[in-house]
Amino acid sequence: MTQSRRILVWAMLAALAALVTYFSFRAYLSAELLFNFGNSFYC
Amino acid sequence: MNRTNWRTPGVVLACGSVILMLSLGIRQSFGLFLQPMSGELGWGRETFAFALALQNLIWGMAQPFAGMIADKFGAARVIVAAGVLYMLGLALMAYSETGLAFDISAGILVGLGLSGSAFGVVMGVVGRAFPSDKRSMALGAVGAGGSFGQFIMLPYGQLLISQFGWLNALLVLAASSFLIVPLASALSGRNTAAPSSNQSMGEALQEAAAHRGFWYLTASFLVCGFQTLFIMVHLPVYLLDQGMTPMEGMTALALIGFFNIVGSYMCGVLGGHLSKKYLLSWIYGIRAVAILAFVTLPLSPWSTWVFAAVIGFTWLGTVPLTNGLVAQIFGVKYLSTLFSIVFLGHQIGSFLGGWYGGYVFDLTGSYLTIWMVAVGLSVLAAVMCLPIDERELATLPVKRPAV
Repeated sequence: MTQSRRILVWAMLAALAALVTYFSFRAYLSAELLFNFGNSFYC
Repeated sequence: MNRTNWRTPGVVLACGSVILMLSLGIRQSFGLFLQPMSGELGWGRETFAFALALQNLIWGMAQPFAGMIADKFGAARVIVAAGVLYMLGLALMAYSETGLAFDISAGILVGLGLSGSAFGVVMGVVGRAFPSDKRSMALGAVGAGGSFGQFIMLPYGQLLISQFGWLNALLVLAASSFLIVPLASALSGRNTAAPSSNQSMGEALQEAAAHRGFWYLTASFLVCGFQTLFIMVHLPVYLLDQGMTPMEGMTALALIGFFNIVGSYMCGVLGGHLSKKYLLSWIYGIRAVAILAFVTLPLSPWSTWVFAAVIGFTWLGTVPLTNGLVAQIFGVKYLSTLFSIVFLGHQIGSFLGGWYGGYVFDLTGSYLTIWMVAVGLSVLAAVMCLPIDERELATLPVKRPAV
């Protein structure tokens, strides 16, 4: 794999991880999870 | 490319990360099933809580045996069996109508599944796949994969429950957990570490048992388990008791999850350059200061979020450092076995943290005592890491009997 292709793959992976993280963070503040707040962490 | 050389260290790392993401992540969403399942099946909270406590205990107790089998006969076989047990446990959870059936599925089967597909077995393979100068970074990266799973699976689990109902959500999670089985093929192959070493497993266990550092690591990891499970189980209730809104509290939980990913990786990277025992000591020291400041300073959303970020950063950062230290001192041949024994200490701590937190609260009506116990234990763990002799045992001069 060439250097430029390697950088491109890492950039795409980083962008994907950032996107998933953003939507996950938003989902944490959804009405359903807020309702379930008391049970939201594993016991 | 032949049949064996596709298992490069990068492939082992990627597949190991996804396996940890699934095994640790799916488990993270179980709390969300408490309300709908208890409501529909007429169970009390105790039925649900007991099965999950049992799961933690089974996980910890079966982990050393899973590690031994993995070191002796290959990790992939253990991971495949664990993936099947995990899937069966989740599927049977969906059809459990009695407390006993739930204990067997969520408690025993999922607990056994976790013992073969989580830290001990997967990190043993990853640790062996990388040379010593890159091992800590690799362990940090695979730990970050597990942390990422924990972070994203909670909203994923909630989404499944909202869209399909709790029963179908469990079946979808069961199908997701089955992905562990094909991924295990990347981690297959005999334990080829230290081919020149003739040390047997019994000798390795004797060697570890005679090393003070092994017991200091186990004891400090017990403190880690105590703190994380206490915070996991009791922080939401504590925050509500203190007048925080669910929105502010949930932001704190999301911050713990997010900074856990960053912290796991960073601790692994730092462990490759700095002394692991001093890093561990710092982590426990930082936790002590963070908890003390959190409970003694006036509580506000911002103080909670800063606490969540700091605790999240140190949350699973102890795992690559503890695992890396075991590999550094005792070698990687029996890494899964030895780390699994250290991890048993973690699970005993988890059990105590979850149970003792509730017990002390019922007794005193306050969490203050248990927070202070957590601070004291943190200081103790920080001190315990300092005298650990980090030198590799194989390179130390062998004591020969006098002639």
